[in-house]
Amino acid sequence: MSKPDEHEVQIVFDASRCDGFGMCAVVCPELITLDRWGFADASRQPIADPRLQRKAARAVRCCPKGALTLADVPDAGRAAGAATMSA
Amino acid sequence: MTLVSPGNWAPTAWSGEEDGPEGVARLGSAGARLLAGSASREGLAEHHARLGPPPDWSNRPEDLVAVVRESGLTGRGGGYFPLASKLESARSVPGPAVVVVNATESEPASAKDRTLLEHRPHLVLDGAQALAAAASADRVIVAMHSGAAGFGSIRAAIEERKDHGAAATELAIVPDRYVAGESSALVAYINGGPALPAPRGVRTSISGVGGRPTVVSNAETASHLALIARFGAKWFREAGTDLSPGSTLVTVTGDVALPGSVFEVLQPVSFGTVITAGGGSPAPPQAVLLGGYAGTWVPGDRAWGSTLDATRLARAGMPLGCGLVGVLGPGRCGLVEAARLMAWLSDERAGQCGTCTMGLPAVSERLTGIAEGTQRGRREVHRIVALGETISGRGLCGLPDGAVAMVESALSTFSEELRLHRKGRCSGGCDDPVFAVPRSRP
Repeated sequence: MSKPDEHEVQIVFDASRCDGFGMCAVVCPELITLDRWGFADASRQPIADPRLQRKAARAVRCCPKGALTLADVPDAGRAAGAATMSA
Repeated sequence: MTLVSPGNWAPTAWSGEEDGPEGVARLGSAGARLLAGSASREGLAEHHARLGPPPDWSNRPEDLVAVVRESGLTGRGGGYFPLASKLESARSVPGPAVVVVNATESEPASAKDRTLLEHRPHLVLDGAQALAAAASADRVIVAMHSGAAGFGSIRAAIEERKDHGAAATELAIVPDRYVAGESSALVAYINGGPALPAPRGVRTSISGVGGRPTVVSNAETASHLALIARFGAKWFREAGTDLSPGSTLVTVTGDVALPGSVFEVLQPVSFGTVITAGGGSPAPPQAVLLGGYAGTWVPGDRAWGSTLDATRLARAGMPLGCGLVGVLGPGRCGLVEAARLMAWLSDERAGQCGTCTMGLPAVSERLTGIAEGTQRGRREVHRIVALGETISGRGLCGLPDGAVAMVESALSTFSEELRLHRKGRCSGGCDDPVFAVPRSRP
C-alpha cells in the first residue's frame, strides 16, 4: 500500500492539440511513444514511481501545444463512463 | 433506395394495415407504448386526451430519480448509459442544472427519433420536462438539425405548449454534421463554440452548458421517461428483458420492402422477426449492419435468430447502438457497401486529432482499393488492421473507433467476398447503394 504522502498521477492527453512535435517521446519514452505519423500515444496508466513522475512532468512542460497535462489519480475509482458516440 | 430482388429472393408482401408480429409494434399499433395512439401527428389536446396531463415531479426530484433507477432506463442514443446515474451525477453538483434533449439523430439511416419527433412531439417534450424535474433544471433545450424531418413538428409543439403556460423549451439548431450529434459537441455548440467533440474526462453531467451540470439525453430516452413518470418503473419493466428492461425502437432498412420502417420491440423477439416485419425475405440475409454506419457487420445467419436484447447483444459483440438493423441481401457486395460507409465516415471526421485525420483516409483508401479491385494483395487487409490498431482509442470522440470497428467487422463478415475480389471478381452488381450516404460538407 502506498504511504499517505505518495500519490499516483496520470498523463492526460488531448489528441486535438497534438501537432507531432515529438519532444515528449524524447523526454519520456517510457510513457509516451509516437505513432506512424508522429503523433503522441501516451500511456494512461497511473504513475507511482517518483522518478517516472518527474519525467512525465518534464514531458508535459516541453509540449509547445499544451496537449499534455498531469492529473492526480482519484483514490476512489477513476471516472466511469467513457464518452461514446451517440446517434 | 430501390428494392431489387436478384436471384430467387423476393421480399414478402407486407400489409401496412396489419399490426405485425407479436412483441413488435409500429406507429399506431395496439400494444405499442412510445408509438401508441394514432398513426399521425398527435397534437397537445389529443396527447392529453390519450395520456392525461403529465404528473408534476418538480417538488420531489429524488423520488423521480429513484423511479428511474428502478426502471433501469438506459440511454437510447447508442451508449446505453443508465439515465439515473447521469441524473445523480448532475444532482451532485450544486446549483440548477440544464437539460439537453439530443434530437439530432445524426445516424443517416436511423429514423426512430424522427418518428417520435414527427408524430409524438409532446411525448418528447413531456420527457424533456420530466428530465428537468429529475435534474432540478431550469433550462430545457431540444437540439435538432434544422433540415431534419420532425423539426417543424417540434417547433409547433413548443408553440402549442406556450399557450398552456408550460415552462419554455428552447430549440437549438445544430449544424448538419455527423459529429455534431455527440453530446459534448452539442454542449460546445450551445456554449457558442464549434459543434465539435470535447476532450474526454470533462463530463457534461458535471460541467456542461454555461459550466452548469447538464443532462444530455436522447429523444427516445426522454420519451420513455415521459411514460415512466406517468406509469412507473414496474410498468416499464413489463416490456423487454431483465437485462434490458423496457421497449426499444429499431429502424429496419436496406434490402427490405419497406426500408426505413420503425418498430417498437416490446418483447424479446429475434432479428428475423423484425426484418420480416419490415418486409424482408423470411430467411437470413447475407449480412446485417447493426447499430449505425459506424456499427457492426454481422453474418445474416448469426444475427437472424439472435434476440433483440441490447445488453446481451453487446456481450455477444453485436452492439445494437441506435437500433439500426440494416439488411444486406444476396447479390450485394458487402465490401463495396463498407467502403462507401468508410469514405463517408472519413469525410465526416471532426479533423481535430492528428491520428484520426491521417488514419481514417488511409483506411478508406485501402478499403476502396479492395472493393474496386485495384488492390488485390493479401497484405492490404493486414495494412488496414495495423492502421486500425494505431487509430483505435486515440481520438476525442468515438468516430474513429467506430469506423475502424465497422471496417474490421466487414473484413471478417465478408471474408468470402474478399477471396472473390482477390481473383478480380465481385458478387455485387455495384449499382444502387444499399446503404446510401448523405453528401458530406465540402
